[in-house]
Amino acid sequence: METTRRDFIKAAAMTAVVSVAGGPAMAKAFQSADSIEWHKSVCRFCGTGCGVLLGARGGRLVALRGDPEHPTTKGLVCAKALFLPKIVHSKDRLKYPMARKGGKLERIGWDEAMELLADKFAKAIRKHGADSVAYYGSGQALSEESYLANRLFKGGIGTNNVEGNPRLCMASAVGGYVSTFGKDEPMGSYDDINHAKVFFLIGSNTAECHPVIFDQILARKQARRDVLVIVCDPRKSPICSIADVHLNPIPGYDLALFHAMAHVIIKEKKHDQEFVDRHVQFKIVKDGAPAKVDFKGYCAFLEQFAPEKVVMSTGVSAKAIKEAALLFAHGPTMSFWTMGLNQRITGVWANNLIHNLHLLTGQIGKPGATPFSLTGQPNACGGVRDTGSLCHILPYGRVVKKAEHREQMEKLWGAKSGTIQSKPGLNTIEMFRSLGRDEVQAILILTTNPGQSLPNVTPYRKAMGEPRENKPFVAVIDGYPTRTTELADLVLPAAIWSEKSGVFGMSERRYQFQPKIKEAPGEARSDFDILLDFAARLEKKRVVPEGYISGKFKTTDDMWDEMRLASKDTAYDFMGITRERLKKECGIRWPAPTEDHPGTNRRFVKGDDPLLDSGPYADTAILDGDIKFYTAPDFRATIWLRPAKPPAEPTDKDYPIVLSTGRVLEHWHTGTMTMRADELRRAQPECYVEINPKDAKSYSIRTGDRIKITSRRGEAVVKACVVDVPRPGMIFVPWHWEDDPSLINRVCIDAYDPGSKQPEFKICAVKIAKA
Amino acid sequence: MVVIGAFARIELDEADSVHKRLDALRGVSTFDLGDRKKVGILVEAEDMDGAHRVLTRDLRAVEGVLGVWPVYVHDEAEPEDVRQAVTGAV
Repeated sequence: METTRRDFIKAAAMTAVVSVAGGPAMAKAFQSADSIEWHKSVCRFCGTGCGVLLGARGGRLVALRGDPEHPTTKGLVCAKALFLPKIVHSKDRLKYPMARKGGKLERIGWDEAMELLADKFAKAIRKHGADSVAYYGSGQALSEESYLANRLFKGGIGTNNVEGNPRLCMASAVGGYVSTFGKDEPMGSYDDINHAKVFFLIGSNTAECHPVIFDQILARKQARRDVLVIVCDPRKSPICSIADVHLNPIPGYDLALFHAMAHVIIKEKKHDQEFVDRHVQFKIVKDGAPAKVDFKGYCAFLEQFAPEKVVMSTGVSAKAIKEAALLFAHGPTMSFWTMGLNQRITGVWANNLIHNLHLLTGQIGKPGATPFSLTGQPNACGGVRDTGSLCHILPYGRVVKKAEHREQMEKLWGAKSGTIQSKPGLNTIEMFRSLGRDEVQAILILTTNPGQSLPNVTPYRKAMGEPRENKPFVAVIDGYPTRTTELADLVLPAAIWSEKSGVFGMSERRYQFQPKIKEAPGEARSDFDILLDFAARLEKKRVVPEGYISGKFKTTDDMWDEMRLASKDTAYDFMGITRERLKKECGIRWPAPTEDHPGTNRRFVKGDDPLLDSGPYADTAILDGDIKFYTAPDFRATIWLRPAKPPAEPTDKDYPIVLSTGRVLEHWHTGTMTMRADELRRAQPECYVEINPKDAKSYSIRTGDRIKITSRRGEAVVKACVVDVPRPGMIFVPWHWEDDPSLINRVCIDAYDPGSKQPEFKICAVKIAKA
Repeated sequence: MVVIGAFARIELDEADSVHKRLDALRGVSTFDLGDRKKVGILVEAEDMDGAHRVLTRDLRAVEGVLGVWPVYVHDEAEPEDVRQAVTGAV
């Protein structure tokens, strides 16, 4: 009997493998052995946006499969996704509202909870003004939820204190796209992977953090022997196994490296002069303002970055720089990057310099040639960036500083003229600093865990939780208890993922629908419902105009229609992405201005991009295949002459080691979800620090020793792992563990990029010693 | 009992030897996918911890293996209504 059962299961497993890995002809071979009802949905983890099929039975989520019909992820998902059904059904889920009474969180009813929330906000607004309240959202909320919160705070309450955790991960990519091309979001798509011959992977552990993308790169490299991979990372992460060239710069000193690559490209005449002449302008910041320079001026600027001149500062050999530069120019080249580039005080500049290389060589707007920022959260792009749910922006490419943009949104939202403020609100770090000064008097934190995820987290934990006179009111909406809920005055239990319906927008501009499949546990409600309830109560308390939100929207479907209208005639135009299409198709890439448009593979390219055919950006004078950067000033993308600025906290004799943080395969961000799967927790049971063998020898450290890592801000104690992965002089610590000795964000620095306001998680100076 | 179905991308030049090395791992058997750059893998283990260890450590450590993507998981230890059937995974 046992043999029969086992054989049956093995046969099912083999069939499933063949259906995904055995080619398209076999893609439909898989048949579920049980009577499970399958629903098309999207994975809850990173920004890859893998299409999944969720199996439900008896009101429970019991199975998950990659969707073989998904056009870009083609049936693949990652090992973390495997545990999502278990994570959703975790016993730890928050089920009831709780309020802090006598120092402890106690269960209360929803009406009492919502009245408390609305009352605290209304009182703060009346007493201290609209800017005394704030919203801190998430790249894990639905697009409709972020849009609703943004609408409520900016157009209803009248404060731009609207932020979200994408500030910590993606803001520099946004700044890079906007300053180079005029608008956010990549022009290419995952389709380019199948055309690229060179992959430039910068500061991205793609194999562990975006495994499905890594598989596609690997498949491409396997299919053609002339496909080559350049990796730029001070750490030999698993992607180095497929690298043809590995550049391992000293952390924080890679700007000179990117300029040096440009220097080689021009010296070897591998640049595309015609493309540069037609589509590019050059700028440098002088006396605080951008100034135009010409190509000669750019060449002269690059002289200081000749490869031989930057060997010492970057730690990379001139030979490797030249090899990488020539490969890049050969192309077609697709660049991918994540936090290694973004989480820096020079994050925007680093992004600019990658764009520079693409513009200089014309490696853009052609199949397989594009710069592409990968995203860490499932809805940082569609949910927070596109809906304008950050302190300085408004939906779909608008900014608060422009009167025309404010007027457009006030009209659409039905807000009183002048409600939306022209001054950007507080960015994430300043928002929590302001909370610590008791200036922000009430904050709503939604589906994110700043009590663990902020850099230099200790003062911000005090800001949220330390009892004091006039302590600000902190409300947290989440599906699980976290290091943030433990600090909150009010905790509201949230429905997550398959317990609500709405849209996720992933890295390649694809908007995808996820349906509600099961009920949330206990009394948990969707963030959308909570926000609607909150808005209605604020209206009753007359701090938001009556009828501004209540009565207009009942479901996320209603909200979607307004969002489509908000996108009309912008560079994001998705009027054609109706709810009906989203439910039927495996997502659609914007722009898609009409209901018969299939979605856009490549922006800014005539023949691909529908906005060049009709509407405000149309140009009938250019031919199919021509490029027009219609969002950029003078329709020219900018090559920026950026200085090679060092990190905020260089190493010195007291703190001689560079600390960098990141992720591992089994866990995701603060571990709120993945730590709820016993198997994932046991697979990586405790935090550790990677130390290069050379450094370990000089400190007499062995694998397994307890190591104290100390910075000017705090310390952590974790287990040593001596391994030739980080370059000498650098240590690496994954940041998923929440226990106090492992809480590495107590050590990290909260200095941030002056442009993107994104903190420098990737680089700070520390000292190490045996604990 | 835990059964995992997976596939690995392997070095083309080492396909035959990689198959042998994988088959030599305890609880691992391979099957053909009609593509010499890929190999189908079955992992059988007593529990999920063991299966996960094989999947994320042992298989990846085999010379010639470029990456491993789990596709199907059956965990008999779970109650029937919460068992996970997963296709398409890394």
